[in-house]
Amino acid sequence: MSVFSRLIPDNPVLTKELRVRMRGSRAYWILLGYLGFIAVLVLVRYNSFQSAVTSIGAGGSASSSIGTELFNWIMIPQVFLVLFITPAITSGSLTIEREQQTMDLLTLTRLSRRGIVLGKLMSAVSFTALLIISSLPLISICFMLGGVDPLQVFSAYMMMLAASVLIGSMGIMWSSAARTTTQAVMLTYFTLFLLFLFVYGSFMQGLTQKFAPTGLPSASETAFNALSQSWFGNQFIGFRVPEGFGFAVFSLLCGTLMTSVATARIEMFPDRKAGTLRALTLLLISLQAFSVANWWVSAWYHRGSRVVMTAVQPPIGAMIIPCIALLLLVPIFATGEVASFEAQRIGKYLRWSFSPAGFKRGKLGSGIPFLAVATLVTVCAYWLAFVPVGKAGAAFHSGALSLGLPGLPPPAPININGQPGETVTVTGQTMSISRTNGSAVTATKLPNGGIQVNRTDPNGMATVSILTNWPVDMPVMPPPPPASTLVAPQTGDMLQATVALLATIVGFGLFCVLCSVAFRSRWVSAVAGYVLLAILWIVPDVSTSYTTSMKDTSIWANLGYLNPIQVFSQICEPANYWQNRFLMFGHTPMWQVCTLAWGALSVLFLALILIFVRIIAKENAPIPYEELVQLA
Amino acid sequence: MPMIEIKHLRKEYREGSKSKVALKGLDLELEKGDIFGFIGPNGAGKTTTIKMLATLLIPTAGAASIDGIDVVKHPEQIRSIVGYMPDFFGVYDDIKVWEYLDFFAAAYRLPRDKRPGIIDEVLALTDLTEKKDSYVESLSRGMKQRLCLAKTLVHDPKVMLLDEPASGLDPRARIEIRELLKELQAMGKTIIVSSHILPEMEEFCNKIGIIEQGELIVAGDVNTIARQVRGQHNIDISIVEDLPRAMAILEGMTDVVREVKITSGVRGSRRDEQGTQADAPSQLLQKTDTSGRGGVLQIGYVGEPDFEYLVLQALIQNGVKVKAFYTPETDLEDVFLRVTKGHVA
Repeated sequence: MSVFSRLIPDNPVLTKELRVRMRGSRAYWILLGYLGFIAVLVLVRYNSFQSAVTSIGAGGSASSSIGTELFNWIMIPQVFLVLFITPAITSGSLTIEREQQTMDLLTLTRLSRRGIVLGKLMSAVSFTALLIISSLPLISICFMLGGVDPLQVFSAYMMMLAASVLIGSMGIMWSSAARTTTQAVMLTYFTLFLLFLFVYGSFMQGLTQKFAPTGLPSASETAFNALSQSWFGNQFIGFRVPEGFGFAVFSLLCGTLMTSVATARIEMFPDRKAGTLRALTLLLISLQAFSVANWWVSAWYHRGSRVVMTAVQPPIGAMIIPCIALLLLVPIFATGEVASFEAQRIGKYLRWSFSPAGFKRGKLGSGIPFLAVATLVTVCAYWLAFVPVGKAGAAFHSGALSLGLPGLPPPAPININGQPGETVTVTGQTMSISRTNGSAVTATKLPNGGIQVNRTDPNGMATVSILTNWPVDMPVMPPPPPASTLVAPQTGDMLQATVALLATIVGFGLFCVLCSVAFRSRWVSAVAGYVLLAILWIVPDVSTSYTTSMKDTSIWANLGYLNPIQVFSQICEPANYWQNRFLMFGHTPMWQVCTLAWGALSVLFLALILIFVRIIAKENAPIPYEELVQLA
Repeated sequence: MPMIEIKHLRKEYREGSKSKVALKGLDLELEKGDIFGFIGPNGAGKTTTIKMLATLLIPTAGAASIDGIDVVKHPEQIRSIVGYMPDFFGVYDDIKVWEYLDFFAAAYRLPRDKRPGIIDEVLALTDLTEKKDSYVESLSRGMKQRLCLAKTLVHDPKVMLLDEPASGLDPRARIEIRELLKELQAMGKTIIVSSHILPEMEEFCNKIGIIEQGELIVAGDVNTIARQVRGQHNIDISIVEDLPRAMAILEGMTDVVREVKITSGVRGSRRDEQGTQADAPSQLLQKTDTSGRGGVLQIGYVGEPDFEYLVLQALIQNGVKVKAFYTPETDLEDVFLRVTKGHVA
């Protein structure tokens, strides 16, 4: 036995998988195909550049841009290959053991479940690593041409490795949940597809452009911008890092979480491993909340001093990201089943669920308490992000109104038709209009406070000039408008937002619990939860875009009251919020309606849950043996 | 202290809201060194019981312990003293015999430098030494079965749970497995071996249990059970001609002979040709034409074993041409057919 083999961790699964993977010629053909594909791409691109350069005669100055572009030509297909090859390896890894009927034999050895899952993951990742590292020599062409920074190459490879861990773990997670390999592969690629849509949709398009009629980025857009900055920016929780460091950190954390899910799922008592999963989820979501808030807070307080990082929305918008994450987590944690013996002693069961011991078990009863704790932890993470800038107290006053931004939209545009030579006074500002050969002059006050002057020439041509354009460049905070013209609605602030978020999480959680006890199937109730979530996210916005006045407001538009993101939007941009929105309760603060609506629904759901629990209790099924053993 | 102790072990499977009982309260005690033959038709609950002992299934109620360790409370400890061979198992593709065993040796946390020695030992025991560098998928079924047994032996378990080790094997491979089990018996291992094929059990089991529809019908010492259930044993008599007369004579001997039946028509014993098939085609042939022809008769003999010859004597003295007179070797099978009712749960 060589010295080298002693250095490899003694994971029999890894050893076996590596032996089998590199056996025969298959692995080498894959490697050849992979490198061949990229090499051909590079060759084609390089040739076309070369001919372009020789014909133009640009020489050295163009070569750096060619280098940069060639780098992209090498990296982009690599990313896709890695993202498609890794799940193909891992998504079958556990189902194939079941299909080959080798799972039982593996289970009975003294290998830990974690060891099995990690062995499978490491063998897949090491193969992907082999593929991408083998492409490094091709990168040297880019260095020859210039325009590529070694740090950039490092970032790209770090992100690809992290992504392969992330996607590989996802494959293993689905592999542990699915019955067959086909199912696992389909689920994995479907999730991958959704992930692409999400990333593409949020980063490239901006989810909700219509929030901001002024042309400024909306709170949601800024939130997703902050998210992408925390992943791909060169700053992570306040430290300067290579680009993509945040992405690597979150990918690895997320990968750990998903391998833990896989580990728990092949365990004999999966719910007993829930403690680890919950701790990891808390860590992931609070770190993400902190890093987004950290970016936003520093962008807000340092705006002007660092040109790149400027936020025009108040930092409370950073809570939109953990809010979305929490809502997505609810159907996972608040679905499950209630056994008959638990239903019979529901009081004792609930008391136990709320205790630390209950948190460590994945019982249905402890799902909502966990989600409530997770909500509070993310709020704390948001608050913590204010500490590095030395404004811990400011977190509580981080809404738009507290920061002195206008509350209600300015009055509708006023048209003033002045005669040449007259002095026209516009509310709050004075402007004189000079004689212009008898032509008519019109000044319009715009919703964003700018003044638009329209002048019609005798020959019928119109010229338009915008004199003031606040607040696009926003050098200083504008003074608050006079109280007589604007009555500020109480949009609430961090504490109110927290209350509304908590009410939503609990109410939505109760909906999922209700589905669980009514349908008695975890899959069905989780799907029901996500369908409701999709309705709450999409329908109100679509409906609002068809609404033009208070009269034609529909029930669908009013579903927006149940969406906590609307609460944050209103707190972030109260002035713009009501401009194209006509809801049932007028300008009542969103957080109040949201809290009350979810509170009322919670009571209703709770009553229905109790009815179903009574039905389950009557079934009188025997107590499972493992529970008796646990109690003893 | 008994090596294996099972008390009121029960298993229900949930299928939606309905539950199906696979095992209805099994009680069993086995001492160290016992070889227990677990017999029953498919679906009777043998595999369920073995899987619960192997910590692969959780019982619905009841308890089981091996070497004083509860199987539900301490599955990890159980796994290190138990070797389990499933009825259906797969092997990995693209892997060599020694690598397969090395994988399991490592998975059982055997020290790295001891593994090659142990692998050679179990290969020698299972007669696979010359196949060490072959690919697993190239082995014959019997060899795979032996390889699985070798894998089960890698961590030197005290207790072995073998679920249908000989199923689907040709006679020669079955004999090889049987010889192997005898060797294990000599090594002092406690073994539970299940089968629905009986003759192979009789030779090396010192205890048997017959299970049907989740209930253990009889269990205990092989000889005791044979005596208990048997009360009679079968004798096959092959007759050249004039079957009715022979039947009349035999039916006249009511004190020692019970249940005279024709197991085959003219062409003599079919059982001889079919070897040890568990199903009995005899019932189908009962209604064959019997007038004046020969055939095979089966009688249930309830007298003293040493006085069987008196029956033969009576036949010959009455001029019946007897071709053969013998006790068929499938005794356990009869026990089995007698106590079970042919239900499959």
